[in-house]
Amino acid sequence: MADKKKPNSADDRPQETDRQFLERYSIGTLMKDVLGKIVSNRPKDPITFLSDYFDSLEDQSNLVLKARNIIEMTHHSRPVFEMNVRQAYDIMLKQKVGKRLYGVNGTSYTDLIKTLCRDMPQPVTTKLLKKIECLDYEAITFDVFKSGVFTCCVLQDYVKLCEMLFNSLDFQSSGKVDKILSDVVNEQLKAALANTRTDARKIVEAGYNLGPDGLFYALERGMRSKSQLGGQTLEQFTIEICDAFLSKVKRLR
Amino acid sequence: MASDDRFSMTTEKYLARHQVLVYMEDAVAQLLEHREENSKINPIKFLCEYFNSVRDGNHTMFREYSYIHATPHNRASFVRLFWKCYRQIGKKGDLLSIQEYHSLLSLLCSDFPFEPVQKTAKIILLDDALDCLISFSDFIYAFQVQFYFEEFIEKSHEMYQSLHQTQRSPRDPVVVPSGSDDTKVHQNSHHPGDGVDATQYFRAIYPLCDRSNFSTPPVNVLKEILFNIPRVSFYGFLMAIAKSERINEHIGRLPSKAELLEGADADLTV
Repeated sequence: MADKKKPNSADDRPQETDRQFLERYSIGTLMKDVLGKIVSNRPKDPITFLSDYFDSLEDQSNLVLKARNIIEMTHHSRPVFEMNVRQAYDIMLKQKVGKRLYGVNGTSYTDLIKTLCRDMPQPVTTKLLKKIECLDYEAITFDVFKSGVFTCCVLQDYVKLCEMLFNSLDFQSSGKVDKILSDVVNEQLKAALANTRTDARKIVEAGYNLGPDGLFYALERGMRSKSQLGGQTLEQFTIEICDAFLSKVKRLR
Repeated sequence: MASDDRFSMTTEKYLARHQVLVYMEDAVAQLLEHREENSKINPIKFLCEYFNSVRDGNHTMFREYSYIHATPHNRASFVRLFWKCYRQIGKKGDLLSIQEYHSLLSLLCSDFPFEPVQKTAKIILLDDALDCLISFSDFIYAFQVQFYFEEFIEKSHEMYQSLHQTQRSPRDPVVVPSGSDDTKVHQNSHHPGDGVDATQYFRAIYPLCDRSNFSTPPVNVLKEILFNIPRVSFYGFLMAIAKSERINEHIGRLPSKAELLEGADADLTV
């Protein structure tokens, strides 16, 4: 990789002053750090990454926000995600929870979950928290932390898929989906996920039910029923579809 | 292509693709420059604002030409800036000369060279009479294409000329220079009925679009332009690119021609 070149300033003051200034604020280290993060996380848009990074750096006070930004630097399927979660946990360990006591307690853990889920409908977040929440005063181990964060990230993907599904079902682009279609899709999803056995035949069946053929027949049956149940907005649709996901989330206790 | 996935490409390629180092170096240079004006500067805040302005495309005003020219994002943002600042000229319907357009550009970038403006005029006027007046709308779309695809245009011009050489007819006039100094022969390089075979030209320039480190128009638009006509002249080709709405959308900064003059009012709002 090319060396980081510090550009020559055109002023007539001695070079020391610029260098001293940069050293005083550790700009060199800062730039090396952020460049390293860009290279390992490979964000889709490095420029936005850079502005978000410096933005969160500025806001030193909120540890939960800093942790969240680090967790969201890359997709959860990337190997570097695990390191980022570890780093986020280390940051949150600095939170003061009592007299001379620092660590991650239920309150900050819940805050982190809530902010990771900020783009989801409120009922979804509430239901999720019911499954994975911890009491305010409890100390959160890294395993619990990691599993909770991971669930949120996967749920983020799931919600995005819900939106894509909503847009395909909304073939008139009206902003609403026929409740009948939504119910049919929900039924198919729940039926496919209802199996807890890893029986090969059941898996193939589930795949068929969710594939183009199975879905087509189910949707056609639904359209033929002619009952009028009204339309659903994206938010209502997401809330219902997320039920299938949340039913699979293991309760913490 | 596997090597197009941003995770599997080399570090150098990934960084070069988004010009990360260009912006990081410029950020530090700007930080040092602003330090002289404002001794109480907060570097983190400054860097945050710098990258915000790059992200939003508001970073090219009053910058030097070398910076504006450095990346496709900068060039496109500068064109958009030009549009925002001067669109009321379009609304008033004034026609300006290329010197006047150059002056306007110089207000936004003090060392902006004259050559790109000249080349823009060539596209609009199909290489003839360079002292015609040009409308704002014609100018800005041609300027966008000339500036954004500068290297591509140069390379395709070379290809056009070499292709044209091989097709030169023996009936072309040969100029024998006489002894006196005052013979001036007007070499009109635009041959309206001549040009080159369009499909052959497409085959010549299509490899440029694959492995280049400069911006190129999308191949399907080139196909659209070159597959529907038997022959094409170079400036006819460039004019077609300039007028193409799909190319405009591909660059993604200027509105379509129908909406170009909307929102322009008497006050200079940026």
